[in-house]
Amino acid sequence: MSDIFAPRDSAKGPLWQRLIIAFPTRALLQFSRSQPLAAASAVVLVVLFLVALMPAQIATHHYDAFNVLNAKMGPSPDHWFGTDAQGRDIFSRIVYGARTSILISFGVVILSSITATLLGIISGYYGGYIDIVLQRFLDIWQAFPALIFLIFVVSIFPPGILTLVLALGAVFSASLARLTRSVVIDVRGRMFVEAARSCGASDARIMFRHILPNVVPFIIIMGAVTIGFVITAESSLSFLGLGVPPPYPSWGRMLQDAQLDMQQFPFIAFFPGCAIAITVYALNMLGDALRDVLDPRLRGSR
Amino acid sequence: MQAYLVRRLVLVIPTLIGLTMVVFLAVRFLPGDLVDAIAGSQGAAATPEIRAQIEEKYHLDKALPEQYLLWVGDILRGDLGESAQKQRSVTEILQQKLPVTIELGVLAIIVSLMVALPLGITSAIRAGTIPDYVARSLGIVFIAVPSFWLALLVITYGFAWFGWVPPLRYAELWEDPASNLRTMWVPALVLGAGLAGTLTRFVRATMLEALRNDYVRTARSKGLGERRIVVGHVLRNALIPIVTVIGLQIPVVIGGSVIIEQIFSLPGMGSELLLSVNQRDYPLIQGMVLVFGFTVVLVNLGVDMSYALIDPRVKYN
Repeated sequence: MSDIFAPRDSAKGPLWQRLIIAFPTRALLQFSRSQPLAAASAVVLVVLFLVALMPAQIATHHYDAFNVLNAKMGPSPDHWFGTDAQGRDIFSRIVYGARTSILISFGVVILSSITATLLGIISGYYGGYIDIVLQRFLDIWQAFPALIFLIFVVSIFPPGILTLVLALGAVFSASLARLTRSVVIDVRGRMFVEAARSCGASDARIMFRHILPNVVPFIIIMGAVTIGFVITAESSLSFLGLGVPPPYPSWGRMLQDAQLDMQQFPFIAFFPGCAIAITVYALNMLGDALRDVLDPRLRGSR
Repeated sequence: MQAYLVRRLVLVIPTLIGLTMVVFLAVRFLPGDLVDAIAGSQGAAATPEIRAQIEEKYHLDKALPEQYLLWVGDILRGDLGESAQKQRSVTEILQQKLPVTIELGVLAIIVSLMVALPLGITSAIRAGTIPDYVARSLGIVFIAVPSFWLALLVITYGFAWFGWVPPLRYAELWEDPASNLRTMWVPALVLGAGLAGTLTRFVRATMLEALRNDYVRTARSKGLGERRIVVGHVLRNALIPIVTVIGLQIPVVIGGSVIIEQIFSLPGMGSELLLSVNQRDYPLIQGMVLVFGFTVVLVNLGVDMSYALIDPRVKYN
């Protein structure tokens, strides 16, 4: 009954449908013609993803196989990117480091998207006191500069991937929740919500059947953009020695290890830094393009 | 508008209280015993006498709510407690370290404005052309290159690039301004570059939006030159949100300064925080995190207030 007045924006369809239906080859070709940089970025990210999925097949050495006699050697056919201070193969460490970055950033983005959606929808839909109280909590949350909060948390809780994902997730949920809330407030005022309510739909039904589908595309776009920031944050923490515990490689930690030998052997720091910069660049480029293609309302924002 | 200002002011109070509670509780719930941690950080075995001493000094022998009230009372009197490691008060340490961080932050913001304003404005008025793509790509490059990597590169190639060598000794700004600025300009450049990326994108977006306004069409139709329109009409209106965004960048500046201070060994709040984390100096960590949090809350408050004062359309929502 109550679905009679449900939104059927079929003229355009929800964005995720457009995304799935509009993705065959033709659209892809058109995309790469109109956004060549973004298409190249997509290729880079697919490669990175494959690398992260099966590092063992791609790496030429084990990430922790050290050989002190062979330390700090420049790039060679055997060690494409050279070796670090302990004689470990830098290329293989970058390959395994990709897995660390992808694992952590996806974990964080999924965690924070879910939290942010829940908080944003509840806060934006109910408004009033619930909204004020939730927003105060977010204020407190956001009052800590992200890196300070992360250092604080990591200094208190035992280090490890779980602590890292939870702490980073907390940081990014807060800002995502703010943005989600503003979208929800916008959607809440539309006709179909009123229509659903006049049909007697419950709050939960309106929130999850009517408002949520309109918020999801926005969350996806914001999530894509957030991944880049998470990778930067994770590598900053690892660089400060507060990230993933050794010996597991992370790009930030590799840079920290390289710090001592920078003057004489700059290549040790060159390649991991490039890995971070290229990945974050590609993510931002692709995020921008996705936003332009999927949601013109957000064009140029942030 | 007055109602807005009052409400905005009142809403800061619960935030500040919440902030103190979070910092207080987080340190109390750290795994293991706080007394042991403090004793351990002082390199002393936790004998009963030492335990009693520490418990008394940090009020740890009282019930939690009482501890909290005592601690907040001390903060209100400007006393943030005493470092567990150094025989000095947290306030004293802050007084010494804070100016360095503030100077670095201010310089970095100036640098980022000098980069972002020209880039963002060019990008917006030439939207869709090659200069626009170059400026946008540069903006993303600034975001993508991690500041700590850039800092490492500068330390390695600094001399070759611009004849800069990391100084052996840090000179205070008021003791020896020339030498201090010689030390600070490169770290500020690196930190500013990181900020410039986000800011360029924002300047571009704001300028584009302002360019779409009716008054721009009016100005054009009455025959004003493009330069007069951009500077006199568009930029003036775009500046308000730009100022806001600079305020919102303060947490990023603070976070970035931790890394930059660490790499360039500047004696500021950031490197002190990392040091106290490594030494598990909880009273000091607690004090510094609190000061950072208060700074952000108060800066945001200031930004919101000035926004309301400048722009008469602002209503509380």
